Amino acid sequence: MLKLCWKDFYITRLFLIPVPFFFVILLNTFVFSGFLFFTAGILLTFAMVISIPLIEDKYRTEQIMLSLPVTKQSIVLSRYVSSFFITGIGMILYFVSGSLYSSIFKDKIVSLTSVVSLEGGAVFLFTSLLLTVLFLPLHFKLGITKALLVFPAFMAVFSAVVWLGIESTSLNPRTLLNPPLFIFLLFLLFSSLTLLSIFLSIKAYKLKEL
Amino acid sequence: MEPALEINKLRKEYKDFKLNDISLHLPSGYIMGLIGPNGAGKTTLIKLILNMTQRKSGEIKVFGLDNLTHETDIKSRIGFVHEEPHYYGYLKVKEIRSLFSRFYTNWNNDLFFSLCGEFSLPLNKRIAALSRGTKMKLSLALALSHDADFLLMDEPTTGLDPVFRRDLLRKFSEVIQNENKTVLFSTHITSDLERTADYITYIQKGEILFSCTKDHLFETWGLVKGGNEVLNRETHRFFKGVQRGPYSFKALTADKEKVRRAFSGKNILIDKPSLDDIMFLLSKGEINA
Repeated sequence: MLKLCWKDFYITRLFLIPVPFFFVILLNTFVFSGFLFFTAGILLTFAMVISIPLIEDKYRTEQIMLSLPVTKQSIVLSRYVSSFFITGIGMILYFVSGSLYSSIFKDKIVSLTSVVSLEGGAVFLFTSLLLTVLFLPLHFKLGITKALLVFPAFMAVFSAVVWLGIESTSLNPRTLLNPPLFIFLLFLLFSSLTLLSIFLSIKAYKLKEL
Repeated sequence: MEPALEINKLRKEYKDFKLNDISLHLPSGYIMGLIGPNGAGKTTLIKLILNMTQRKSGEIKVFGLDNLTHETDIKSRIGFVHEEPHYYGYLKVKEIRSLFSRFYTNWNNDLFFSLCGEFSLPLNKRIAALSRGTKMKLSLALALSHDADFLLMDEPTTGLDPVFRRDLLRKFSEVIQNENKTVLFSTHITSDLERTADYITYIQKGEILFSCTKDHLFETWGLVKGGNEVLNRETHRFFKGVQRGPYSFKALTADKEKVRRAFSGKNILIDKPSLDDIMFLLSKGEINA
């Protein structure tokens, strides 16, 4: 599986090398709105994550890769590991950019202080990873093109369900972020979601006709 | 010695096509040609061997190992050459080597570079800039450089110029000089098989119509020619496929001696069939079960 992760970085390295530069430059556009800065950071990180399947799809290398001494299961697992690793890189870049702009503009942009914080970082990481674990089963089931078309609709439904769930419990998530129990439950929920996502991805990819 | 490939009652179903309980046996150290018309199931069979697609039922053993439970062991002993080799177009030939070599414990860099020299492969050229024939050479170099015991090739000669095709076929023969090496290649260019194959397997509409040694095929099968007056319901049953003209017919038999006896005294001619004749009459002629 590590060989496959290495392969993912080897084939994307040419595309990932200039990303830090774009990350810092692009985020500069959104420094005056904490929410936009956060959203742009998430989207850039997600773009880095999907660069691997996009490249594989463009060059139609799936069959050649499957002729190597690997299993479909190891391909799926390695994709999760690579994606999580890239998400980690995205978070670092997000923090570096945020800190950089906070120090440059200082008092002029108060909006970044809440986003580039421990709490903000946790939300960034959780949201980025959530996007990945929701996207990958769709990718392995439908292929990258269809998955990218379906994903926005899927996310809209998912967000609506989560929002309705929160509304119906009359709990404010912002006030609940601090208690350790809430963080633990969030972690548990995310871990279960990741396991379910991996299970669905493996099942879908094994059934996929290549 | 374990057979290189053993397939038992393999079934795969699509909406409009199925591989119908096929069985196949390929001893180690031989070249088997898999022929059949387009859409016959050749590529599906190769994909099933490599576990790229899921079977409905049946069993595939490579070197005596089940291809589902020993997938990585088996694949590390297989060299695969695809009909249209797709690699990352922006990588150079030498980078593709770096990528592939990590997956094989038996990878031999010296052999790879020697094959690159033999095939005139430009190490510093990007894949996107290579012609189809050159990509096929690269594919073959990659397949041979990890000392594969079993070469699996899906239409490797399709679309190649005659000179390179001959080179490729010569290379196959060289590869199996080492008697542990086995080659299975699918093609619809029958002349390639007449030059190199030891075994011929004919697949049509998802069924194997025959699988035997090339020598046996040419010794026992015959192309029968004669006037239409000798062809009737009784004599028709001797043939696997018949093509009728206005006055004469051409038919294929799997037992030319039997036909010779049955048609004794009648004006017929029995020739050695070419693989083209066999393929044509089995796919286009009036078929007898």
